[in-house]
Amino acid sequence: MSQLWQWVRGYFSAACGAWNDFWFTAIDAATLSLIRICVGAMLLYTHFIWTFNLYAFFGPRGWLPMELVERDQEIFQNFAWSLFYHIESPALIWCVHIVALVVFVMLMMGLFSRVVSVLAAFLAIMYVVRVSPGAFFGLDKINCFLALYLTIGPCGARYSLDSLWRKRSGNTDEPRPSVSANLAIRLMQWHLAIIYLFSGLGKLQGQAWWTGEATWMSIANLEYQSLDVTFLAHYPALLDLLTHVTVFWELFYIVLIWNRWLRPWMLMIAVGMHGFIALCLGMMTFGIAMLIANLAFVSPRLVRALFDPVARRVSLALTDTGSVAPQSPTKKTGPTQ
Amino acid sequence: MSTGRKQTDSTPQNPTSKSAAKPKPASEIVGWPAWARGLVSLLLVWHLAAIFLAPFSQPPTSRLVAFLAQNPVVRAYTDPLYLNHGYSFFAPEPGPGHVIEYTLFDSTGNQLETSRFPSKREQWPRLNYHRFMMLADQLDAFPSEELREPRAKYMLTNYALQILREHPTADRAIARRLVHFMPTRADFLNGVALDDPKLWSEEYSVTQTRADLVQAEARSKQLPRSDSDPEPELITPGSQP
Repeated sequence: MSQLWQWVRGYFSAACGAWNDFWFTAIDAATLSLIRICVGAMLLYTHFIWTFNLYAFFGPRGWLPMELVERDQEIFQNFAWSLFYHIESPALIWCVHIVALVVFVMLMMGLFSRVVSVLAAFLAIMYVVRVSPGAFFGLDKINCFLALYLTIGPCGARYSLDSLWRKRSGNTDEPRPSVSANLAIRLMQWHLAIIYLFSGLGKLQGQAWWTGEATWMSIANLEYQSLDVTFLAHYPALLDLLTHVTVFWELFYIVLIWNRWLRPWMLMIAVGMHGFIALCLGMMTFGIAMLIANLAFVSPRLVRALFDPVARRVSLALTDTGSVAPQSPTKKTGPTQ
Repeated sequence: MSTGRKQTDSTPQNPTSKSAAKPKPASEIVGWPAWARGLVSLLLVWHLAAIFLAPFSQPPTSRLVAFLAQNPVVRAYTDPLYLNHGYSFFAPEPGPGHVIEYTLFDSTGNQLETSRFPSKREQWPRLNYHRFMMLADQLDAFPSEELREPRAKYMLTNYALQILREHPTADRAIARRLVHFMPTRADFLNGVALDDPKLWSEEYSVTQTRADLVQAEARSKQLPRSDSDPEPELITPGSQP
């Protein structure tokens, strides 16, 4: 009995250790900072496009009038809320829009990152709630969940105006490893894995994903098509293979992506699949957003190896210090670090 | 490539090595005190359960999962954070394309123009086109079978009114929602083009006049629904792609 008790204790002790190790180990914020730049740029572009039809989509009357929203709120018993539910004036809607674009620029540049990341997530949700259902799609879901997790960690620790400001103030210390950076990255990883799992499970309900016809049905949809690859009709085995690889890859992503040897292959398939969607099915933004989410599985060390030289040059040019400048005797911190 | 854990992220180890999988004692973990880790762990379990159950609860689903994911306590968390979704990208099958075609007439009944959206010529860049494609696609993306058609017609009516707003010289608009099916691979190889007229069919059609537009501006609610209509289903709008 005591042996069984010891085994149970040992099991839970090891499980708690693994849980702590997974979620609460401090990591370098390089990956999170790179994702911040990409998400900021994607949010900026996504919302800049609304500029072409701002009042027609976000005004009280238009493609999706407020009467429809109120009715949907009642039917769906939805707790979602948008600032745009309460704004009728075109001038005010334009003011919110301009503020939002400025916030997304600041997020991309990494200025006041901790505060701006919260504002960016809030604003991104405000926009998409107003046009759901009606004009939203997968891009908005990915934008919002990434923006949400950026609020958790020090997303401006590197590659940001915040870090330049810190160096310019004389603090040339490297950003410390951060537990909250790890939490943010881990949540991005799990959320993405869950998205792929349910995308794969959803496909299992359709016959075309079993018979191999689904890829043909996708590329033969003229409304989606941005690059004509219907010549693939002459290669049915290739179409079947693409269909089956898509389903299996999505279903098993949640398991295989954690294996260090399989991870590069899983990410390469992600690049191929989302690249295909981006180029051929007209969803460049969605394809790029999914690849940005996949960046969560790229190690901070690799990110630093690729981007630190560039950041160092920018830093040297703007602050005359770079990251190797002597430490100032009076340390000052940046605005948001 | 790895997830970059500070202590364990050195050179890749043999995956069969026991040390690679051995968990690190909590005492070695940098940073937060135990109470903070415990509190955050509870929040993590709550959040992970919420983001897992949300897509799991999209129809078809069990009553248990629908209850767990769509009860007011969970939705008070997932709805405002925009986490209550399905992720059925091109699932269960890649569906046909949808287009809104509209014809405008002046006050004397002369036809002014016939146009369509989404239109690659008129809506640019591509993301702008995609928003209009979603307007056409999500017209009847409604979970309740009984409310689907009246809601689709209501939305199409709003599209017709918006088209009249954007075309001040027009007095009447007829808006139609067209479905554009894809040819099978075999048909395509036998010479059927992707835009073959046989692949198109009309689903819904509405007519709106400028007088309707004036009335609509003053109205607050329009969706045709009476007290005898069935109770709405507890389903979120997240089942769209």
